Amino acid sequence: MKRFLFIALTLLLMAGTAAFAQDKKQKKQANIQEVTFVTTIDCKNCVKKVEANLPYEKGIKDMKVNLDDRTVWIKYDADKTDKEKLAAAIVKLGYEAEEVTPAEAKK
Amino acid sequence: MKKILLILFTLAAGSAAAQNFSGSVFYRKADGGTEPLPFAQVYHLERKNLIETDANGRFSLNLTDRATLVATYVGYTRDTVVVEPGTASASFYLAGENDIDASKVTAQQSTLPKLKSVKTEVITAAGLCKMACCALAESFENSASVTVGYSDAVTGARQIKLLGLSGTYTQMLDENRPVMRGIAAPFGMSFVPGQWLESIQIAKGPSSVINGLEAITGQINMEHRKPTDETPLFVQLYGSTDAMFEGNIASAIQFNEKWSMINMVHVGGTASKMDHNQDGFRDEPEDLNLNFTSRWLYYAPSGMQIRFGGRFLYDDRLGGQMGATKDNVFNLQNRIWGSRIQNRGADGYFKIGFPLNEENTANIALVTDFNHHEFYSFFGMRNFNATQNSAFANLIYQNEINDVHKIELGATWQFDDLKQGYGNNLTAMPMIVSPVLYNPWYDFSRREHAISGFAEYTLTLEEKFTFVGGANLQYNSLHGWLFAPRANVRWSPADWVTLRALGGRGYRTANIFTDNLGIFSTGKFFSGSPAGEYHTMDIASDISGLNLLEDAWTWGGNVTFYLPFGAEDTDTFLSFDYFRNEFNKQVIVDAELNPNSIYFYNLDGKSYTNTWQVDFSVDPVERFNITATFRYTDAKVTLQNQGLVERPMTSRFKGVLNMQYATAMNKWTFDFTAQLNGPMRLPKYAAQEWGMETSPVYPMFYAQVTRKFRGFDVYVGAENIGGYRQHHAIIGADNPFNSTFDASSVWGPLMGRKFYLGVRYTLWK
Repeated sequence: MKRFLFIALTLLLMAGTAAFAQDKKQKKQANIQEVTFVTTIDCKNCVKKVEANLPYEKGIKDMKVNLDDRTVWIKYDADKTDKEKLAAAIVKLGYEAEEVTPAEAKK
Repeated sequence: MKKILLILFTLAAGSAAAQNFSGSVFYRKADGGTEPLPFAQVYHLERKNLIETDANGRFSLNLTDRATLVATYVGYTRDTVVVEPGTASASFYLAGENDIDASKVTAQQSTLPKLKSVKTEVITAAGLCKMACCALAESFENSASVTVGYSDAVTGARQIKLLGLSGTYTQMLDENRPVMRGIAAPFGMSFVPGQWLESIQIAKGPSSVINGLEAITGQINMEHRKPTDETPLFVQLYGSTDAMFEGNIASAIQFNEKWSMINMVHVGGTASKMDHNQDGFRDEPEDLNLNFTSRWLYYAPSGMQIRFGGRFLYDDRLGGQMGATKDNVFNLQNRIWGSRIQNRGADGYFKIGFPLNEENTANIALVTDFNHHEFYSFFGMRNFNATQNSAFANLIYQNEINDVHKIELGATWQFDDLKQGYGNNLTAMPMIVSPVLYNPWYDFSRREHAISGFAEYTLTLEEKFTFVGGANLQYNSLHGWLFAPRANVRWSPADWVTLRALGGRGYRTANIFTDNLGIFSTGKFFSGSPAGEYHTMDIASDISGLNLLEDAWTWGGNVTFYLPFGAEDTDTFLSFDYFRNEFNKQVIVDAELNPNSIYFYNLDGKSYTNTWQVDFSVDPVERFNITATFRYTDAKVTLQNQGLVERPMTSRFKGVLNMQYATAMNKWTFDFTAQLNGPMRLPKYAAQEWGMETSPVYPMFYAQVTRKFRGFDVYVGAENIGGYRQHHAIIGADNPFNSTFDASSVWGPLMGRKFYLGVRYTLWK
């Protein structure tokens, strides 16, 4: 039994390490930028919908939806996409999106 | 006022001359007063453009067609107005979001909503995905509050325990409608597909009087996927190495702004029989489960809501010895011990709510429900059949007088018509001879009407203090007048600490057979004789003399500290619970009085449980969560000839450690759960048989990896990685027709290690 536990833990750790490594690799890439949009996202289901779809748009490295502020924060590779395409991707999901500069966005 | 976000859309600055419609956006203050809201955003849905209000909260535009205008402002609710052509003006009212819905729960896995007056554990959709298999019962593996076990080694029925007491003392709610009552209870947890659920809320203690008297140790409310979900198609498939399989389809469709519906189908079961411990008995029954539900929502612009729907379920399972068939005549002629259980159920509900004023601070709601359930079974020589028809209606008036005071008043009608009985030998089977001629058929049918009136008052002092007090007075056709007061208090003297206390009384009518389904998986005789004579047959007449009313008080408290470390935007908390439950009246099922019988009698003495629990949760870094929780239970009951003893088959403690790491945007999710399951006091006959007073302490490990792609997730996992099993779960397995046969002393997992693979596909609107 202990053997299996050991194997399972090892696998889990390996998987975790791989995931961290993947994160790091992404950070190395050159042209990473961030943008925050204020949107019409106003329900938990809207958040789910955006979280299920937006990550698979080209060039998006990370994103977070903040329901309280109705904002979507995106980290992206500027070589692969741009703010207009990102805004369009949110609009495609059925929400308005307008960029806010970081100073205006609530932390 | 919140900070204003300036967003300048050039569109709004168009030609003012041609504009024929003007609108005003107001902020409706908590005290009911209004003030104009400058720089609010108004979306024109059809044109997909944005207008902003001016410094006076006004805007204008040119309308030629019907337009849907949505006024929004960050931190406020939104207001939608459909404007017909020719309308000259309209007003929009937004309320501060914190004013009306402060208890917003975001999509974390398991949360403690700060502002609820009753401490509520929430298992959200993400949490439900951690343990991807299969039914509601399995959703609690991460929770120490709820312990899941088997009721016996034959039927596969999963039983939960909350505060150290059987799940029958926990009120199950489906969107605040009581479900899984009576004969629908023993498999209720197994018949709700986990994939149908959006979230589960676990509240310990008797929290509210609105849903009746039956919550003694707590309430578990299930929220299903909603008709308004923007997912026209969801498909899930699952298979595991122990031949368990399931498939689910859910489809939510919004016809227009008013009508929406969701249909869900489930097919699941266990496709083959296995006998890992080679005792001649199947470890799990072969099983086929079919489930269908349809849920509809009508939402009128006036705020009136109608929800209705129905559900059908069918389940057919075959357990017992490996050679058992669905034909019990064949089984018995060949001296094979088999058990077949068929459940069929149909239910329908209708809920309607009307706002009584424009702000919907006063409203009236009617909840009605009808449930029909059939249960046909045989267990070796014994047959148990039951049919139940239940009807329920609850009328609730709610008035939020202001931000401080809220009252709810209502009346409930509950009707249960239960036909049930058992026979205890071959000739009991109607297909052979008439049961009346040859064989006693013990009938335990009953009919129960209950009418109650209730009132509940809520006092809220901002976010600092909440008091909820209520009482429910019921007239019950079997038990006469029943009175249940309940109260709870929440106080947050500071942001970092919340204190809660609650107490109250609960009642239920025991259903001695289905509450204790495991008694059928024994060769023991049933008796209601408190003297404990040695029996050679069932003595049903004594059992019918039982007082079936169970009456208990539960009270408890909780302290939650929110700690100032961990990743940003997450709650790190440390929480302590204590609950005490004490029975005034209880039906005792005692298998210890003598080894060949099971005795039913009314409690004569004390019966109580004390439960302590510690929960800790932290995200050391972003997207990495660690939750640790530990429960200790001290459960005592007074049994004939033994006095006050530890309640048998109740685990003394449970510890759970869960770790979850997700990569950016949850593309990969890794879950690992470790459980430490504490010992249970074994009933005397089992203690003698196995030579130990208590069951051993054992660990359980679970792991799962989920990979998300656009539209679909793939998950693989392992349960019981250590392969820990209770090897001898059945006493007297080699002679199941003897009265010493007993498959009801299950303390550990019956199945060894298993691996599974599943796929979830979601189509978004």
